[in-house]
Amino acid sequence: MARDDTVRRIMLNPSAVDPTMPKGFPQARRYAIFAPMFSLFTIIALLGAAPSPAQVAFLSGTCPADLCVYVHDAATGQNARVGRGQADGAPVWSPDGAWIAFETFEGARRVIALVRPDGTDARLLPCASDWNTHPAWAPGSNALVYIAGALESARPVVFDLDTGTETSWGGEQRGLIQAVWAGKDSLLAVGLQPSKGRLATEVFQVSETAVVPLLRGLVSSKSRYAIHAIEAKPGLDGLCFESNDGGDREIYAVLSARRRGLIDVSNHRAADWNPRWAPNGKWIAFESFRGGRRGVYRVNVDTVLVQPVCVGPNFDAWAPSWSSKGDRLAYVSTESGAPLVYTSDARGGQKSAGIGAGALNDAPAIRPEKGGRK
Amino acid sequence: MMRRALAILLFSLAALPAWARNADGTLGVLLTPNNGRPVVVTAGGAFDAMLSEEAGLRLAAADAIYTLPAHMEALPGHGFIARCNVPPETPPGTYALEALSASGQPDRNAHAVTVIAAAPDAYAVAHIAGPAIRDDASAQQLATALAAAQQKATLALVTGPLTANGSPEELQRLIAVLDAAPLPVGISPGPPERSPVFERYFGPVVWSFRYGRDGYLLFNTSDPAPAPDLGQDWARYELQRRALKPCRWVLGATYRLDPRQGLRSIVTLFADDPLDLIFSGEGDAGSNTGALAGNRAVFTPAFSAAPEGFTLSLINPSAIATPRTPK
Repeated sequence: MARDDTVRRIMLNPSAVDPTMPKGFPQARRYAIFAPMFSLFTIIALLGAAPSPAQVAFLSGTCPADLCVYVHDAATGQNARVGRGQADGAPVWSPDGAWIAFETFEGARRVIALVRPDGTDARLLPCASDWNTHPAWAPGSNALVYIAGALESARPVVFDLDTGTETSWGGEQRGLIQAVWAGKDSLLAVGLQPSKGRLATEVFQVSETAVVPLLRGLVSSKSRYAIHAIEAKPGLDGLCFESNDGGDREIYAVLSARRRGLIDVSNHRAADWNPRWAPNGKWIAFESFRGGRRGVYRVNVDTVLVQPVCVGPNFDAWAPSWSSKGDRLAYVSTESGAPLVYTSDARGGQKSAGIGAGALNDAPAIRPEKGGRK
Repeated sequence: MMRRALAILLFSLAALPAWARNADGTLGVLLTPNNGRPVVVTAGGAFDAMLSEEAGLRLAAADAIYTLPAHMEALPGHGFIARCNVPPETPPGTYALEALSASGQPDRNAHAVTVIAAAPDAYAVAHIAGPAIRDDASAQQLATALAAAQQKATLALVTGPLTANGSPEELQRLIAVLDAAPLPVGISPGPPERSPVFERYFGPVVWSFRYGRDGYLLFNTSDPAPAPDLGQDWARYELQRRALKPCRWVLGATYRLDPRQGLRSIVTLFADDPLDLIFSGEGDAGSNTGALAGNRAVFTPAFSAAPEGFTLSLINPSAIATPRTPK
């Protein structure tokens, strides 16, 4: 894949780029000037500390079979059971925060469910397929896309909440196994590619009737890699995903606005996966095994400097999720011995107490707030 | 920490208490290794044991006991992990792992550790799928199949359903068979004994171990898909698959392969680090397609339908010879 020389230089020598230090200043003078400013910034930062999010949806249960969607209310400290408890999938907030969508079992069928954050108005979407996964909200909260079918038969289906109708997207194309919105009338999707002897996927732009490969001009060798967990950049001028290009799993970003092409933003010999783009588009939170265990990190897509958010030598952390203002992250950590949901500021500070309603707790999602990017 | 462990060890040697799992067959002080989560190690080698309490450890055979110098580390929240060194003079054979905790609680995991003289260049592995133990008769069938396998193989893998309903009685029968097995046995759960039932009796649903130069990854597809994409299982696969990378061959075993088992699982197991061979039960009719993505697999017919009760694969330095299996 294409590499950015500037990015590579920074990765090889992170100390070479320190945005807090203007060039040409002697070391002592720099500190003399910036010490009072630092104190002022610290006071301002403390006064403006990111508050705990009002509500966090998450999964909880005693085992995978009874996982259920809960909503934690920070004001009361209470957890409200709002899901079905039928191996429910990860909760996904609508951009206006009015609904939660999730996968669930209805008998042997995997269907998409909607519920209000207070547990009212619960409903199952009338999915035509028996296997529906990966719900994702349209920017206007009036439609959902999800994947109907598994692997070779998978295709994106858009459900219009106003009309209550399902529409299959991507024409006759099948094998589209994950989709997210890339605008009002466009999806980004991960699709299976024919490949001799191994799983290979590619990124496509999908409309209701057509499917177009997106990265053909950027990757050196098509149909050889397994791309997964695609995310559209907030503002819809880029995307990120994970890929096993280079031997292990890495996070790649495409920044179309800056014409920088495809960048490996997490480059490390250990696996990096599950990217989550911050609402301001400047950071990507992801999971990495670079510390020996699975931890939550964030990377600045401009400098590709990676910072730990929740990492430890003898526990795991995973499933990062941003608040709509980008000032807090929610994730799961086993630092107490059991998997509990925590929220913290984006640097990992101001960590909340552990949130949980059962032995297993997973897939946190912070309710969007007014004023946050949607 | 080391001094305390040594004190416990000396105490255990003097006390000779009654050893056992818990009365209902669930794991006690010793979590792993056990008779379904085996360790195979050469004399002078090392292995990790997981314990719910700090304890002194030793290997026990019918006629000998070998104390295990162990370095113990506390895990977050609860539990300990002990890095155990097998004394070089330990003769080849199958051993129980015994523990005496700091609180005086004794425990014993029979058939947990197998010491081999040297890593074999070539050997055979037997795969038994779906024994579904219901009563004494079906438990005896599995014992007979393991005895027959031992005539041709030096390692056995048993994939679920291990029991008919996952009841404590059925699981205790399974434990009794595994305790008496004439060769090391690695097991993988099926739907009746899926987590957390399996965890109470055998520990983590994901387990890897080395047999000589080869690595074995026992993974879990018994929980309802796509839930396995959540939680810790796939991180464990990534970490354990990475730990097995230096192995000559890496082989997997599971209850079934299902295209709906979740994208993370498929990517981790079959795309990033493909396994050299997967032993799978037949699972649900028609479910064994798609998820393989070019990986090579042996589909063993359900225990009751297999003529010998197992399929046999020959592991050589240059190739893995597998039996013909129904398409």
